[in-house]
Amino acid sequence: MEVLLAGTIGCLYAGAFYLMLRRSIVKLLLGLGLLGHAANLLIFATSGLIRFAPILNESAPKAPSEVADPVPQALILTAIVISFGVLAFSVVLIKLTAAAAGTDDVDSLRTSER
Amino acid sequence: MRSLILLTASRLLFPLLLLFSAFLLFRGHNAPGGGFVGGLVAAAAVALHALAHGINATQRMVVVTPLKLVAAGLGCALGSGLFGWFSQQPYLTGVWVSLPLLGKAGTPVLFDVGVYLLVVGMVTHVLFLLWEE
Amino acid sequence: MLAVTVAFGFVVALLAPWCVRHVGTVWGPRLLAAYPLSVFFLTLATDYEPARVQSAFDWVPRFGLRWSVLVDGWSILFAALISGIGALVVLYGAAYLRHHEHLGRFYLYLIGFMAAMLGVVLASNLLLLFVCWELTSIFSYLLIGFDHEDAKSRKSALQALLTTGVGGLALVVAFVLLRAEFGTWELGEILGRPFEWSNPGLELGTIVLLLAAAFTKSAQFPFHFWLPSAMAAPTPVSAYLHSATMVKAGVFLLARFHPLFHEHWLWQPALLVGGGATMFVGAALALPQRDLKLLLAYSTVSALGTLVFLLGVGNSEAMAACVVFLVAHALYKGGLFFFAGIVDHETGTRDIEELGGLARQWPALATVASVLALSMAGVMPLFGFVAKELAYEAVFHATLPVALAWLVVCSGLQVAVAGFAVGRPLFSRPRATLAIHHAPEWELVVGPALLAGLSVLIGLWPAEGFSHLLAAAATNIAGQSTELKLGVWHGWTPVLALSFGTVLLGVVVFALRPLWCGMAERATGWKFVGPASLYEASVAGLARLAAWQTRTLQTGKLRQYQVLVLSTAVASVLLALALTEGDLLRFGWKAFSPTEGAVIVAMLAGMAITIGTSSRLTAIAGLGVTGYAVGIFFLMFGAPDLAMTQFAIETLTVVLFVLVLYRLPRFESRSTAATRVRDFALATAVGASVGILVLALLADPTPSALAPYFLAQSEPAAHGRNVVNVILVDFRSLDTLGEITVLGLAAVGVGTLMAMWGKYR
Repeated sequence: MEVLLAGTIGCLYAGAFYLMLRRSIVKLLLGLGLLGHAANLLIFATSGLIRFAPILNESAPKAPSEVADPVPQALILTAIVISFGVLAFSVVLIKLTAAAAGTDDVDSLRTSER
Repeated sequence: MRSLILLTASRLLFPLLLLFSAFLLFRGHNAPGGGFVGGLVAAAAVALHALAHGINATQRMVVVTPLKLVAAGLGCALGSGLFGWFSQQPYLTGVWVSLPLLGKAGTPVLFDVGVYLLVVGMVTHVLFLLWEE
Repeated sequence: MLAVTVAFGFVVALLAPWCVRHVGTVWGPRLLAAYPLSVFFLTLATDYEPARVQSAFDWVPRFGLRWSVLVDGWSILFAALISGIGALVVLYGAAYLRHHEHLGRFYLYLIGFMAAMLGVVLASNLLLLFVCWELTSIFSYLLIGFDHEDAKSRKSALQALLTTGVGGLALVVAFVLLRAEFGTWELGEILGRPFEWSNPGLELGTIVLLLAAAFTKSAQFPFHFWLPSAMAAPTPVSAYLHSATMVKAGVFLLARFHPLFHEHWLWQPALLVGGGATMFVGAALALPQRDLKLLLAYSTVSALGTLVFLLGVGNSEAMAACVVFLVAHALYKGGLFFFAGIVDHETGTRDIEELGGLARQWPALATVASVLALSMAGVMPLFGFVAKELAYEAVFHATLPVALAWLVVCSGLQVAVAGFAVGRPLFSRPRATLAIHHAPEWELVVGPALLAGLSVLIGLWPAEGFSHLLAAAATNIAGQSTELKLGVWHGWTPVLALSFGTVLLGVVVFALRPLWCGMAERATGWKFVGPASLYEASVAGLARLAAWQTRTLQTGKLRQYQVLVLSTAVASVLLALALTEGDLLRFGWKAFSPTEGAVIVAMLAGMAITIGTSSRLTAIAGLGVTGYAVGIFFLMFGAPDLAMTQFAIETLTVVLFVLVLYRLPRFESRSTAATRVRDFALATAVGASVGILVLALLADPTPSALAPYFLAQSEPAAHGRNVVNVILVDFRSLDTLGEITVLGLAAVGVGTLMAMWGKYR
């Protein structure tokens, strides 16, 4: 499982950055979305893979090491929602940029830097 | 893109989804759920309504403008912290009281309600803006 | 008391513009002069024996930064010089710049500088000393660049700031080393006890850094070039900062640490050679100057060299001579700068070739200036003569014949410079072309007159208390009890003969002025080897380097930035792998169920669709597939909250995309095959590095240290069984508050962007 998961996360990162390196600005956006998934999985993997949710019912194991780590979960949960907010913002921004610059080619969008 | 099936389903599902979202919100403290998920489900319900009935009908139905929901949510969350502050503890410290009939109520629940409102408001605000195009 | 005085000075500085505006340009400065004047009398009234540390208040206790002052003869002598000459400069400046539109700003800088300089000389806390040291550099920058519309002025200011700023950096490191070695920031404690250094390298490093700081500040060779450039400042500033006070801060510092380091093999030779070189270079470069202020500036460089040189001689007599020469120089050089300012102010020129016959116009001023110049030349019975006698005697008794000869030659050159600066403008034949606007006001003359009077008085009748203060200062910096007898007549000694010889030499050099000017003209072609050109070249080189790296790295192309960032990331992972010892990747081939395998296949399949397709709708659907698969993965490994959130978000994301889909640009194939291959290779490398990272992490999973606490306290303290939710709304609710604020801002941001959309539709 470990090797499989590592390979998967690696593939997701590779795919995300390949998309982000394309010249179409929409692909950049899709790449960002994919990168979000990959990053969440990466954080999720850091604390090890444990099947018991950190919900303390009667059936839950008593030892802390047998329950999934709640801290990365809390981090990821807000990250998921925030990435939606960022996505919504970027979609509108990209629409606006493409309309204002008359192109969606990332390479030709460089006027603001100079 | 109005369809009869969607219309019927929406009539049935919209209130159910809203109820479900509230259920998720309040049970979140002890079981999977919470303000984030609840808010997203409620927003999904609004989106479903808009798909079925058209955006104008939805906007007429929603009496509170989404940005006000955002403000109310932020206010709720900010305000929930004051209880701890006023009882000589650090800001946002949870304060719990036992109420008759309802059981225990605490400021973290109020905070979660704030999260719920803010998420609903944020998502519907964005959807409405993009839909109007 | 004195520590508060320093702090109070900064308050006065801030009030200065208001004072000048509302009290007026006549009485405002006079009111401001009350500050240095009261400090002056306070220092005179202060009992400086025995040396002691006074602490006023803590400033930043965590860093050990305290307002504490070290009161002893040396610091009190300096404080008296700073405040006394400061008071004269404040009055002189009022007349000199009366109609300047930024007079208030001028006093803000000047009084601020005064307070900072008092801080430098009085501070016992090394950090406070450093802060004030840097402040003097900054105020000097502001004052040199006071005429900020003149490009040359700005350039000179920057040059002075950079040169002394480098020294400031050296100083702070030296202080940190001292703190590390002595365990205290208090100068009073560091100097007050015998000490063995734990590490000779540390001692050497501290000495080198202190020398660098002092040599840059006091314009010692080869850093002397900034001082003549600093003459772009208004003349009262030159008189004050660049002859009497700030440039002596380096000498102050060296003398302060003299008792601590004088036995080190490097200390005295470095001071002797550095000071000796400066002494000669300054005097020699002064000879061909035509500008009165430049003439005085170079002779100041030479005088600073003499002070450092005397420290380098190192016996207690030399220390005493150093103290006396310091005061004598402050008096005559401050006065001569005042004179230069008056000449400039009333005639509009400072060129000594154009000036002449001024003695007939202004007999009173001529008397004053002549006395000052004669003191500078070291003519009996003025204070300058006393100082020079003591210096000669000290070097004579130290049996350094070469050094003595060198000192006599340089003093002889100084005599000639005094003649150029005062003799020519006053007594050469009158020039018809010279237009004299008006006679100098009394406020301009009172300063030099006072200083000239003091030069005479101290020479003839040195007061007991004054000698005592000088002796105490010499004792402080020599580290041993030092006797000092001020007096004009020492009997028929070899030293007296040397003094006469010096004046004779000066007269000869004075007469040979055309020779020096000719030599200077022939030497102009060699300017590019000087330290000033080295400075120019390094500043220009830095600018070129910055421009080059900006052009190369900051192309404005997002994809190039990405390539750069990603390559760096990959390189650092590879480097870490290469450097890590032991088995980083010890993982087990734990089995996985078919369901898990299927979920992962779905994730990757979604990704492949997103990348491969040319349809926007399909790409979004592919992204959705990946998202749902990630959600299922969360569900399988103990994160139902994450799974639910992920499902809801994926649904809404698809809705969002569908809403705007047909308004987004279509995909077009733009990249060449070569670019695709490069991107593919880079992306694969990034993926591989991340995969290796994950393997390393999974081989050694580190659950967060907080998890056990949260798990244990969730129910008893926060009344919740869903720990993730409890973390979000209770334990770390402040974080969540920040995050939902971001969400709210995103909503507002989308609204704002949509409002702008109207413009481009």
